[in-house]
Amino acid sequence: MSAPSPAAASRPRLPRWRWRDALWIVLALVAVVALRKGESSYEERDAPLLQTAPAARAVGRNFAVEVGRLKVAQAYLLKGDFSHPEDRTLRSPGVWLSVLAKVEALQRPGYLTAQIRTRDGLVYVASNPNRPKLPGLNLSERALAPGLAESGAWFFELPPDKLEGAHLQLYWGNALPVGGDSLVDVDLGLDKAAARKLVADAKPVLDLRM
Amino acid sequence: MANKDELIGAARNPWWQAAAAVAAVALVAAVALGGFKPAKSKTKPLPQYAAGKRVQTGAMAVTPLRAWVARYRPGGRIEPDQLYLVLQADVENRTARSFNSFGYLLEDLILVNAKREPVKADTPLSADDHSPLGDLHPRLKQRVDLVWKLPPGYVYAPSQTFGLFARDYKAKAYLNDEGAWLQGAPAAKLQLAVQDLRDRALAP
Repeated sequence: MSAPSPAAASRPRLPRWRWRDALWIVLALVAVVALRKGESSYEERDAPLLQTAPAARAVGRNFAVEVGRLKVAQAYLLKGDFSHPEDRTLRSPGVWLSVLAKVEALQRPGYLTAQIRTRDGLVYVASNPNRPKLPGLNLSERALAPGLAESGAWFFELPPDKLEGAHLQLYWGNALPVGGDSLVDVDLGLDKAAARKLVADAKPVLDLRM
Repeated sequence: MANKDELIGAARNPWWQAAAAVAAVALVAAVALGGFKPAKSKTKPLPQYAAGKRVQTGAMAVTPLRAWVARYRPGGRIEPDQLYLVLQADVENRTARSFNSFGYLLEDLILVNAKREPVKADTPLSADDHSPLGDLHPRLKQRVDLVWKLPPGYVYAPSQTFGLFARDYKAKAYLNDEGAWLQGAPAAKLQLAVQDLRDRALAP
């Protein structure tokens, strides 16, 4: 038996191939892919907390709302203003849904935003304060202060076939609520019969001149 | 660096001579076949739509209806030294949520000027009562008047080109994986006759 040569002794030996190590690597890769696939989306991570609430008193972060009557109209007749003194008819490509409400800020002053979410997930934001321009009645972008409840209505434009199953959603502020904030969801109780009755009772032109 | 003798030696090398001959033949062939002419654009021409044709671009569906030039904004008073170009169109929000008309609508539906540059409208108005357009709501077709205040040197053209950009939803539009409706490439060209209402002394 001959002694190993010095060159062979100094040559670095390749590590032994171990199937067990390869298996661990494959399992780790599978876990990485699976975790990445199962990761929640940005919208899911940043979604607000959906709080269902009764129409009688819906409370969210910094606000309380009492939802009142609903009314549908094809158009509104409005009083003229300084720039257009004559009365005008405000039409919509769909119908106008008005939601009467009493709103109150609980801790800090600010704004409350309302939107309608339909059965199929479409979101209709309340019309701006100039459409219809009814200061004192249109609740959109109304400044609220704690202890001073305000009454009025939100006005929504939506196709008549989207009324059935519609929910009113409310959140504090003008920007969309971020993760952890409250998005209060009020079922308006618009089943098929109720939605049909609202549309059937809708006036072609509802007089809102005050 | 090679000296003169090395270069002469290389020039006498039959392999280099053969390579030079091949390069010369390739150059002549390329010139003869038009290889040095400006290449044609590979981009497809934009689809062109006339009045009354509905165009869908992801976030919106737009049906251009008519265009005109007048001395007044829709529903406004005559301004003798001012001209306005108006594009009337039916616009439908195809997203799942109401959006402000000053956003996607003004960014995506543009006037193409004589230098082929996009020009945004100044004001979107509601066509029925001429009030400032509010939000565009999902699945509601809203008739709008887009108004451009024309510069003093405007020369009336009987036909005008408008452009429409695509806007599609990207699930991970930003680094934080947030999704958004992002403007894409130009999607359509709208060619409309422009009605001349400059001689109207009274706004209808």
